Amino acid sequence: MEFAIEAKDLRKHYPPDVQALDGVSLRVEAGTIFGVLGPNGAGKSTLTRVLCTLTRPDSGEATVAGIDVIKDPVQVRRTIGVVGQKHGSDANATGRENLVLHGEFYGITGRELKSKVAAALERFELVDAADRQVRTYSGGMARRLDIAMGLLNRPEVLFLDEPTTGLDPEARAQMWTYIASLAADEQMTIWITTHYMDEADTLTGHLAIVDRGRIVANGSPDELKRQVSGDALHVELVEPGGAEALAVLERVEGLGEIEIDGRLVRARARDGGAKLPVVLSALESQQIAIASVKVSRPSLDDVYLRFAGRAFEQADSEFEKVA
Amino acid sequence: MTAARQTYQVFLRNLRVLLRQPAFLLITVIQPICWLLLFGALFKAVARIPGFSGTYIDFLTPGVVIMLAVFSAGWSGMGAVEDIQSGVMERMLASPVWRGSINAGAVLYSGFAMMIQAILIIILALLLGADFKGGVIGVIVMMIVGGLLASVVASLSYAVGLLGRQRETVIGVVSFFQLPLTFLSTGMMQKSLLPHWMQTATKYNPVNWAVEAARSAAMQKTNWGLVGERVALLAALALVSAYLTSRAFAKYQRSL
Repeated sequence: MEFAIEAKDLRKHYPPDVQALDGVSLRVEAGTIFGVLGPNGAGKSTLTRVLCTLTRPDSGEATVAGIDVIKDPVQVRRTIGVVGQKHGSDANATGRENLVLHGEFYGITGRELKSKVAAALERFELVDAADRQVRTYSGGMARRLDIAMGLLNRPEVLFLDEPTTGLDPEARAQMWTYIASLAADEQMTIWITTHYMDEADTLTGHLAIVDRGRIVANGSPDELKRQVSGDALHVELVEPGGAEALAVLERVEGLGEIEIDGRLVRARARDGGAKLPVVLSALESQQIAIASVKVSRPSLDDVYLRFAGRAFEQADSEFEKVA
Repeated sequence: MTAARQTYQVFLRNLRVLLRQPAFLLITVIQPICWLLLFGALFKAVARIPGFSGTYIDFLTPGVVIMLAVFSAGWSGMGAVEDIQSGVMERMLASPVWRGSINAGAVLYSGFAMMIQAILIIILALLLGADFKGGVIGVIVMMIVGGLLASVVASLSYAVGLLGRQRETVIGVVSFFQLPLTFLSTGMMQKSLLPHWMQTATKYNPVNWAVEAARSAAMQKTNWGLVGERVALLAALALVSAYLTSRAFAKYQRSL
């Protein structure tokens, strides 16, 4: 099997007028971490639900692990692990009881179930809390339990829907470590939706940017960033610059979007590292003194702005206004 | 086989909730006792009305058993709402678990809780001098009848929970039906003493089917023809309700 997930022209409409999926096609290579990034309401969760067989698309087709999600949902469910946005554990039950019940749902029973549950508790550092009710768990512990449950049936594809939303920074960092090690150790395909730029940047090997029910960009985080007009150059001058500095810089080839704001000069260049010495010597040749310089690679925020045509945070808050 | 196993696991999960919440457990135990004592005292005079035959405790006991089936099982839908809001429902639906076991486990639990309450009532009724003319078999049949009605009510309540997704909806719908269905039966009042239109209404009320069958089986010289007919009717209704709940599941999933 070449692709762990394939989707073709998926569409789904919620009455009265929400087009959650507006023709989504994608392919996910087996054994990779695939990220789906988008603001709230972009259609990430609907797309995940369709692929997990939780809901059906109005049209289009999709396979997960080579199995048709519409024609054979039960077989798909056996093959995948799903960790939803909300906790999937029963707060009145202990961690162990949750894992046992979940295993039974997958037809795992008896001694096999017992040993799998013990191994899962061990792996996610929940041994001490195993026999405590989940209502006493911290956010990070409950999330670890969710992932432990999602992995119990040794899925080929693991779906994580916003796995770190609502976690404190420390628990988030820990979750990233777990997710990264899963992909490395088990060669599992991991589908992860997020609306955090840094999370997509750190974790995923391949990224789809979703906006208004469509995929607006698709590639590795680095590829996507390279498609944005280039690196950002920040030069801080000793004296406020002006027409003089601007005139010098405009003569430098391959430098664009030059802005001068008091002592601060901003510009973009395709290869910022190589352009930097040219910029510096041009300024120095006119006796313009430089206080500091910085080159930064474009962030996914820049990427989002470029492909979705609006800033990420703006899209997020627009959705909140509607919702 | 797997389906039965999974149903049992869901049942155990529900039972755990009961056992881990002492207040809930206490209410479950005390409620039937209160009802029998309260209604017994309140309506005692009914037995003195001309046309009433037998003692009131004999008359009331099956009525309270059936009322409990309606009232405890009615909250089954709250479990559905809680599972939807907590994300447990989504996780269950993303697993290959047999869909029916999600409702069946909850129904089984409602039936079980109802039986425990019924046993408490029967013990108390014996202490109060009730005469179970139907003997052990009669009492068992009464519990089966109560269990069937509980499963009808639990399934329908679960469906309301799936479609409404709000606690308030479940509370509203369930309490809207509970009292009228109970009072349009012969649970507390002999049929001949009811207004004429109510007597007609009781014929179509499943709660009354259960009350009459339970009373006939446990407290009287049993009319097996009547009991058999009512058990069959309630069993059919239980299946229809389970089917409706499975439709509610499908509808819920389409809306995800």
